[in-house]
Amino acid sequence: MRYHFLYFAPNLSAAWFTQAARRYWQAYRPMVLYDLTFVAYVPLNNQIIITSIARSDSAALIRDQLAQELPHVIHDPLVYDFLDDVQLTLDARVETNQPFGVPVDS
Amino acid sequence: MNLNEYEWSRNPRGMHQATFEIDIPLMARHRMGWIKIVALGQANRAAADAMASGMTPVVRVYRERPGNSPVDEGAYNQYRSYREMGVKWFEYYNEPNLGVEWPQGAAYDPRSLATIQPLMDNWMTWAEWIISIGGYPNFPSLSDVNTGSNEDTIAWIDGMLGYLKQNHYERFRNIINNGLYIATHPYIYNHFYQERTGGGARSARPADAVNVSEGGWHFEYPYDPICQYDDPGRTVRGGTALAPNGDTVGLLGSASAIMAILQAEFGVGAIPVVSTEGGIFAPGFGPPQADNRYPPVTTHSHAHGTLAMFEWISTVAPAWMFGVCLWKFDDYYRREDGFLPVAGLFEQRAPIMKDVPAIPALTDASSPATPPPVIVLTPDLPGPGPIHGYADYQFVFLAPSLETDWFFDAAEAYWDAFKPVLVVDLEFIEFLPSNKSLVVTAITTPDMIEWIETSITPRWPNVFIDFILVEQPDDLARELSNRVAVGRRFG
Repeated sequence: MRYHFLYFAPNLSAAWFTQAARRYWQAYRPMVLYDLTFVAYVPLNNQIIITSIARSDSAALIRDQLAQELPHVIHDPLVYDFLDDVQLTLDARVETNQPFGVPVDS
Repeated sequence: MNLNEYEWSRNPRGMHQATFEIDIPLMARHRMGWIKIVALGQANRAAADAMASGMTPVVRVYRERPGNSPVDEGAYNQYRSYREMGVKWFEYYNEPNLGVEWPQGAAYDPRSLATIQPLMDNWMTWAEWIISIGGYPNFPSLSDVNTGSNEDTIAWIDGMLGYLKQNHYERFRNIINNGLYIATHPYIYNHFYQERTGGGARSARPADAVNVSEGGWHFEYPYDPICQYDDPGRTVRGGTALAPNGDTVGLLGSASAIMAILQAEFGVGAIPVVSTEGGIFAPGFGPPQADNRYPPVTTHSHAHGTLAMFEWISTVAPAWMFGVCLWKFDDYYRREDGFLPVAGLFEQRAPIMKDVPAIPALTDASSPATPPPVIVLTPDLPGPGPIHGYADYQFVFLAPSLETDWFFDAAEAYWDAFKPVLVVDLEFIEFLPSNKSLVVTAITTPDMIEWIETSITPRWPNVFIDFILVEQPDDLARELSNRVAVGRRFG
């Protein structure tokens, strides 16, 4: 089983979700989180992909946290300092039907 | 982190700015160690000038009546601009125990999870972010209220720390160990005195006979000899018939109450306390004799008492007490009668620097932390356990029949306020352990209610379903807005 989480850095406002990620969420329906501890409940025999959205100030913190606490997950980091930029990227993923920015097996 | 590793001036003497003004060169001449800045916009020069003059700025980004809502993006940008300037000490949530800090009509009660959970969750998010940029976040300051009401200081301390212990024990300890300080607001009124020479511990000099150059000062209220003789056994938490709700109206009042819990329940050695407002009210701005057991405050006793208070902090107070930012610049320096007499003493008398020992923030940080015991409540049922007063988690579930554009058009403020988990597959409930509880907020059209109930309740009977029924887009916007307005995640 594959679980896809869309994780937002805690210092991002809700607009990064409700505006920037709107089309992306409507297309791929990931689980939306602001707390990574939640991911630990998923049994290890599942594939877990976390698309994280963060500005450059907190991206390294999230990367390190994932590496230390959830080393088994696949991390799909998106690092942008402006809401419009991340929206362009997410919308492009929808246009190209690539939820993780690269071709993937269904 | 050790207590001596915090970067500051080591000078406890401080001043709080007026609404729009603080004269930094004047404050430097008066040998301040702390400058409290309330930021209304992007970083200004006051903080940089203060640092250049050897003073330590504490910056609070101001928001009107924030209640327990999260810190907004604009505020984060303000903090960042101050941090880039070199500021390390930051504040946000300010006296959340007072109604003036909540939206008009909002319910706030330290015994209610609807109040405390968003406040602490949002505070932790902010505090961790401040730490991530190299700053020191404050534990929220409280006003001193000892009435047992919903503004009661001890009730708020217990509510906030109790929630953190039960729900975020290790996460909070991590904040403690990486730069947390406690902000307090001790307006001490006339709860100080200087002994008469040879008069004994309970003798108090008349107000106009006190002298900062002589000893015998008492700022340890309510533990000073006068109070203890009058009401034996009174503590900051109360403990007597005369103080049933505590007595925090002293220089170390709420700080002592908070530190005691941190040390007993969280393994804390010591972390700094900075009083970011407070002191002896400037004459004309507070009752001169709020407590008739102590001499009244005059301009003379205010001047000598204020200087003595700072010197007492350096020489007598616990190592964790770092100073007071006096309330406030215009009350001291922009008066019709000119500067208060204390200003002359500031200029003449050099501050006593505080010697800070290397006390660890966490006494057991090098050994594995011991989390609070977990009580497994319903081991025989699958999924999450029962709710006892509040739920550990909230899922928002959009019914398949719901037009998701309605949700995205209406949810922004609610998401900013509460940051729930958005799920599309109820099967995830199965993963939650029985020591966690769950509320599912189901946003649905009426025709899907039965389907949702039959999908959840038979399999996971401990899950509470919080229905939001939507027939028109406005229904959802109205309900979510109402919840945000009253600070209630579940309405």
